[in-house]
Amino acid sequence: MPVFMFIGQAAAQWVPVEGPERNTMCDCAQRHPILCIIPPDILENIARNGTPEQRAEAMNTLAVDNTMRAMRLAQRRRAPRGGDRRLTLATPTKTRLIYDAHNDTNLPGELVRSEGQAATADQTATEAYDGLGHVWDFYYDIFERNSIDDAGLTLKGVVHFNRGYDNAFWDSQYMVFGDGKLFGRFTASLDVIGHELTHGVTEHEAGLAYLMQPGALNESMSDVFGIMIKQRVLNQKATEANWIIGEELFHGTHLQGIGLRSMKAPGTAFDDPVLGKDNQPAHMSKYVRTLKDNGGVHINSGIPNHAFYLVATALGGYAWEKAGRIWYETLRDSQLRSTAGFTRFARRTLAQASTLYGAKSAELKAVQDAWSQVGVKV
Amino acid sequence: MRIVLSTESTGLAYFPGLAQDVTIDSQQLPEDAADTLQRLVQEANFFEQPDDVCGSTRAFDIRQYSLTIQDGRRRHTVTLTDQVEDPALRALLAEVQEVAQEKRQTPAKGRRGSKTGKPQDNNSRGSNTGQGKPSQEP
Repeated sequence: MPVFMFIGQAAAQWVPVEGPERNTMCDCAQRHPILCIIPPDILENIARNGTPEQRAEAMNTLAVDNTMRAMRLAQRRRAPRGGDRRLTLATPTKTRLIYDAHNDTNLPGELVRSEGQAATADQTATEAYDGLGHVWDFYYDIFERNSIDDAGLTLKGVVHFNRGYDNAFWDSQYMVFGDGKLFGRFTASLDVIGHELTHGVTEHEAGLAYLMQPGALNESMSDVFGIMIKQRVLNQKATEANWIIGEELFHGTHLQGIGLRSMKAPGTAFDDPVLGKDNQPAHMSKYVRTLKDNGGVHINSGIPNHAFYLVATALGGYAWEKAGRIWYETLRDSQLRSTAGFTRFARRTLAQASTLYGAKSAELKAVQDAWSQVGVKV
Repeated sequence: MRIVLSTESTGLAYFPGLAQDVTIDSQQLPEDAADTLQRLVQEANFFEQPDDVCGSTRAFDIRQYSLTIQDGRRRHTVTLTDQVEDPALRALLAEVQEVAQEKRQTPAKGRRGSKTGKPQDNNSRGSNTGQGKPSQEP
């Protein structure tokens, strides 16, 4: 399991470390020894009222404390790469289970629909069932992948999680949907369903760490495959699609925005009094340094997202035919490490494009041009 | 009693508005709301909870919070997610989120329920974000 170590608060950089430091990552060894024992609200007072130097140090320490907690989450065990995959002569078949949490947070709740059963009167359960099916079909039809783990994993969805829950997540076993309060219901967005289940695919392949640049790549993979799943159902070619993630969540709401993210124009999806303004960058020159959001995984994913959009639209046709194939093979590439940043990932996409289409191919040039346009030097 | 809700991860997407820390001073809440919070803190045994109650599940896009409460001389911070299992802690988080949401949606001046009517600071720490050219590898 890779371990990151924080070096230099001003520079806000994390580097992989080896050896004896591995066991010290979550203690105070790398931090200011006094600020480590000062409670958060005292630090906040310093951050508000101290000298400029004290304020800067206090702000950094507060942010690092929060990130240390995020680090502990990020370091938890993940499934082994391809470890569950097994050869079988049986034809892969999709298996879905839909549960109803009845507005509680205990998972999974009551089983309300199994594979092959008729739809219930609950539109949300039907959308979840259908959405999981579209994801399974996409991975099998396009990439001959047998479910999320490529070993026939049963897809389990949980609807009506919590009360008015404005989110959806993948907990490595269940895809969990909120009914929404600020937003619309989360089962309505097929690319969001594809996004969440692709976290499972990434977990079983490259296992990209959910932190900083590897985390942003993890997030981007989910957007890339989530949007392709939607485009396939809508039979949209790359140049016909709007490349908006989660647009259905904004339908019928008072929110000022068109979706969660725009892969075509990162940073333009929403500007709302409650949500704030979309701050995704489309270029490395606008890379956001932050210790929130596991180091900006949902922010800086705008850069690789836009690179994929550029490749797909440059090559034309359906996004999954060439650009999607290159990205999928990169995700499965044994040389793509879980700690990969943008540059290493970009280099592996070039290698895969060259292998699939040739060293002088238009496909390879499209990938080179895309990374250049978003400022990732390869 | 003073409560700081810090949203470390806003879930499926990053929303700067929802990521801002919210500070709740019970003295500025209506009496019944303050009593409710005080009761939920006690029922959750908040000051005896471990620092991290996120559980063993690895989850993606789940919301993560740090909840800091100071009551008299006692002060404690707990990191948790929306999947918190302890029902009493879950009830406390839900109530704090409810109050925080109201504060986010109400302009600073003349907030409903404020005993003093003084504007309140919703973002005591700032977002600590910045743009610039980073190292291209983590």
